[in-house]
Amino acid sequence: MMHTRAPIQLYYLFKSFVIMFLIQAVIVLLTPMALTAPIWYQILAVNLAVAVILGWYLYKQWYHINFSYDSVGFRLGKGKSAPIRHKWSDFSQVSLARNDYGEFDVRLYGNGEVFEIPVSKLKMDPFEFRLHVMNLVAEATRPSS
Amino acid sequence: MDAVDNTIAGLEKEMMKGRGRFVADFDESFRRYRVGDVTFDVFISGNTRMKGFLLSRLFSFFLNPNYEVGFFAISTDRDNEPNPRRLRKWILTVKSCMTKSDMKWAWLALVGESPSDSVKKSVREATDPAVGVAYIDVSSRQIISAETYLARQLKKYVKIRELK
Repeated sequence: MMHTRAPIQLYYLFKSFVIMFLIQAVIVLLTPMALTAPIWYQILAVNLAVAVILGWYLYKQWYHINFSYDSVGFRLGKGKSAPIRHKWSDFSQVSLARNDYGEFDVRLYGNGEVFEIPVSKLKMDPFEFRLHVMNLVAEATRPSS
Repeated sequence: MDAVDNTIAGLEKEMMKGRGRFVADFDESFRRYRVGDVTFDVFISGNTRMKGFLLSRLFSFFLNPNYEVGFFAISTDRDNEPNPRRLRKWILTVKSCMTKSDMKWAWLALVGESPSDSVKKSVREATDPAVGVAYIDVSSRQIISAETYLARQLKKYVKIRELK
């Protein structure tokens, strides 16, 4: 059975909104004041509306994480970039790591390869999910009788 | 999960998210960590230099030493009771990990229920200065530590809590 997690990350959504709003704000600031002053509030309203739409688009393009897994493997996609697929059997060791921002990742060690699943960003319990992944890796790497 | 497993899970959280962070930045945890024929229930690696945002990072850079440390926990039961020979083997295993990862010191927590007097004696006599050993008795919620500085610190920073 395939499990899927793709929660909205409010921090990154807000960041996208702010980026888009600031770009428009700079454009407005570079426009002659005589043109913008009479319709100041209308411009602000349009900027906010456009920032919401473009911010959502930017978030989906760059930041949105989509993670799905089953007993065989998993697929992790970020934004519109091509998703990364792995089988649990590609890995032999699992750990739980905290990064510089205090977020937890489940770290998978394979043949000279390290892959991280951003569990905090996926809004999962890192300690529980790590144990679940350990079981999936153990099942996948168990020699079949 | 039984009480010992729950306590070990609680210890792991305490080290990574709780009071352990006052001592070191314990940032990577392995469960069922196998070294030779010894399997530790938890191994957490860390560094005494904390991470953080601007001020805490700067503060840490100037005031904290920069070396690797580790936390090991192992569950004990009747079949796995820490007699002097077994305890020495665990300490040597911890020390081999320390050498491999260039750690300066490590904590070894033994987690079990109702230890016998000989177990308590073995723990108290674990005097390796680089490995702080303590026995966490889940039933009486007491911590028996060796007489070394590191072991006394482990006792100070460990809080026995069971995960619900």
